[in-house]
Amino acid sequence: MSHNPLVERLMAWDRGAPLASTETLPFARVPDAERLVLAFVRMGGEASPWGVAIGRPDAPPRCLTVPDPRNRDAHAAFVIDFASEVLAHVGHPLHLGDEVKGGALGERPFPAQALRARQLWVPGATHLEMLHLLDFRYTLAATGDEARLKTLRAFGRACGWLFRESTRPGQVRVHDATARLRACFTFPAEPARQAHLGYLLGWMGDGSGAAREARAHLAERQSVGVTLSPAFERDTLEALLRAFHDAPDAASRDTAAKAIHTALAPQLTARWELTVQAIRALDADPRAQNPQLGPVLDLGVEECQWQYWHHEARGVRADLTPEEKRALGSHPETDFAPVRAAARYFQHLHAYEVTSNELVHGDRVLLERSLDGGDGFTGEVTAVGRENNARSGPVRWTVRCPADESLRLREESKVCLVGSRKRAGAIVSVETHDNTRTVVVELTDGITKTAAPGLPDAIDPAWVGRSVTFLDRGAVGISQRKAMFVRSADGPGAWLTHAAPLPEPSPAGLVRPDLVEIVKGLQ
Amino acid sequence: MGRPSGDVRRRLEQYAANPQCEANVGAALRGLAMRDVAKKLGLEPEFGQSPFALQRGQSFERTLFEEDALPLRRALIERKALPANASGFVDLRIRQGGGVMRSLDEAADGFERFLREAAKATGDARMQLPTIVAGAAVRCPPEVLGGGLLAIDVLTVHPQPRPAPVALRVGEVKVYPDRGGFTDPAQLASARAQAGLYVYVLRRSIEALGLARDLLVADDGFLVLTRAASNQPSVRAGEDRAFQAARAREMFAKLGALPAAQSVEADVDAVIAAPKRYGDGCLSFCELADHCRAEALAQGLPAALGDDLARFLGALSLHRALELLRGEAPCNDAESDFVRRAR
Repeated sequence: MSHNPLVERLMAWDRGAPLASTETLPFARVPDAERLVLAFVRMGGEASPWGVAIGRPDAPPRCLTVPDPRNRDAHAAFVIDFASEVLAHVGHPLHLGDEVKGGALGERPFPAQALRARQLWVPGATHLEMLHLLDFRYTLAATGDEARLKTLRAFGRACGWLFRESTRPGQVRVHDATARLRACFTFPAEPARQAHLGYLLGWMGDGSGAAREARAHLAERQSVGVTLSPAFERDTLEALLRAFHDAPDAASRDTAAKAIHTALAPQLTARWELTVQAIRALDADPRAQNPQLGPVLDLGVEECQWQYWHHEARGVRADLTPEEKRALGSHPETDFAPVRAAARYFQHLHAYEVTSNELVHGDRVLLERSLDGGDGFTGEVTAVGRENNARSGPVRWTVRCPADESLRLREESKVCLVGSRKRAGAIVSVETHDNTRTVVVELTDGITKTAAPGLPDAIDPAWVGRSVTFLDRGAVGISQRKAMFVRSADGPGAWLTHAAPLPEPSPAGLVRPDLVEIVKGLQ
Repeated sequence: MGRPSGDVRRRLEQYAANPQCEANVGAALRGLAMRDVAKKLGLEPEFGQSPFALQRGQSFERTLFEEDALPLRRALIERKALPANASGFVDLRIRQGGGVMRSLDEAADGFERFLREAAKATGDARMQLPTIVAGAAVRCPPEVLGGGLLAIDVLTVHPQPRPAPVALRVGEVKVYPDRGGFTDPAQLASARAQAGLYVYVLRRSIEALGLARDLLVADDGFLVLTRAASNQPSVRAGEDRAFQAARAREMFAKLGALPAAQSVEADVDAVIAAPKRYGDGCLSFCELADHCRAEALAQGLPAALGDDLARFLGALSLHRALELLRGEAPCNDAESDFVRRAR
């Protein structure tokens, strides 16, 4: 049976339980000390959090609230209370732990090892959006005490980077718990319903299919997004907020603020705990993490260094002017410069290519999906040799496979051997007769035992009769080079976007705005 | 249980959310709230609006139109949706929304007068027409949902010397933040659909008044959102509504051909008895969604597990598809095709 997600959903419904949708997990399992869990709630219609639950998954969360999130000063004070924790977690140069500090301020080396495994977990997509909204609110903060402003702006930039990082394909730093569960399991429910973390976790418990479904439906009635239930706002919070505003003195106002906190804390804790449940469910899963995750993690570290840490580290240097520092941050709304947007587009493409090309070699299900999509073929080696019986050089394998499988690869497509990616080459010919397809592959890389440890030489006749799978080698690296090239001032179209100076205007003599003169000239 | 207010826009959007479900179409047509139908079925509907969100919406709209709509005008000029010298503001909002009109009918009469004056204005008077109109109310065509009124959040007026017509551009105000390219596309689509509906109804109204020669409703319009983390407006100008207006035209044509309402009790029973067609979209707007899903699942309808699965299985039921996956022989071409695709 194929790994069609729709068929898998049908099978999951038949079984009355979610099915594992991959052979391995596409992210790293890390110790709890490397994880920070955040959950927000907001007031209906507002764009800033009303409260936050924050903490490592192995300890109770800290719940912080602001009585009225529409009060900007109070909101800033509320944010300051947890900003340091977030900044330390993302590795802001001024908030790193003592063990990874070292060097003068602004010249510290990037703590790659310390930040490699850091993960941020949130319950769902709306909580990620809240990071973006905090970026809008605090990155450009302009009024208030300067020391406080520095922390608030740094917090805004960190939230902005975390949000942008969450949109990069294959990233393994910012985890939307709902999306993670959906990526690892096939749930027996329509996609629209699968946006609810409690619903998904309800399906994952013990019991019969009916019991799981009932549990999931019950959990679905509780809000898990950043928005609170309208009934709860109407019946509970509206009166508390009114009491806060109508309080005649500071003591009554404090009492009302505590009442608001008491009402919001369980809501925050519930969201935070659901996220921890999702983490624990994934930790307890018998599947191992994908063995090819290394390059994906490396790319994540690189992105952290150049998209966040590098700017922040330069920003704390005393020798830069405020104007020079301004250029270091990213605006919450836009890149402003088309060339920067184009470069990020190619970086995202590169991230996608790295992730898909690497992980497919570590996961049988991903491999089969790739083969179903025609990006490779499986067959039996029927001949091994060199062109014109040469003594050295590339080795040609003739592989016979069924013709009814789809194949997008053509002559000259680059392919690699599954199980030994270093053994690679290009397709020389593809011929189909009746139900058989014959593919000749010329192997140019990894053809010796030394180059491909654990395998016989490519020229070894022992390969004849063996079943092999070849997969599209992909083109990892091209997009990354494009990301560099688009910045070049010599490229096509650069004069329009970022090259300086602008081209010379047309000579004025060619422009003749006087229509009468032109007509007279024609006569 | 009573006949709900004639919120024509909400009813039209309810219809558009799932026009294939006869129960939904029936409820929209009769002006019935699905909440009432759900209650009669013994369900406990939980839809509702946040009181804070309502307050925030009202507060934002009040801010927009303060001081002769200065904040809005500034944002519109900044985005070149109005010329730099634009002036004049007509406030047709009802009292509930912070305006002076006593009812939507009064606002509709006021707007009709404004349209007539704008159409006949000449010379300087034409070029000095007010450029912003808030709360313009227009009447739906009588054949659709028994008429009814729609209130357009904001209109901009673009006078040109005769013989060119005065152009009107429809704006839609929403309170959610504009996050650039990350703004929720579903929310934007819903706002555009709403604005397209207004474009179509406004055109019909102008035609009915015989003013089409002098007034032109432009295909393009604008959205007014909030700037993230602020109460200031963020204008998205140059929004093309041609397709949304065409969608509204189609919707009106279909609705016009359907029968009108009976008594409330009879209508509720008719909606309960009508065939349902569950889809993914029902979750977001219909109080019967869970009920219909359970019914669909009991019947083995694939839509209960998602629209995408329903498209994949076609006419096959969930149970039959499982039998085929377990190895039963296909009985017809459709089943053979399914087995081939699922292999």
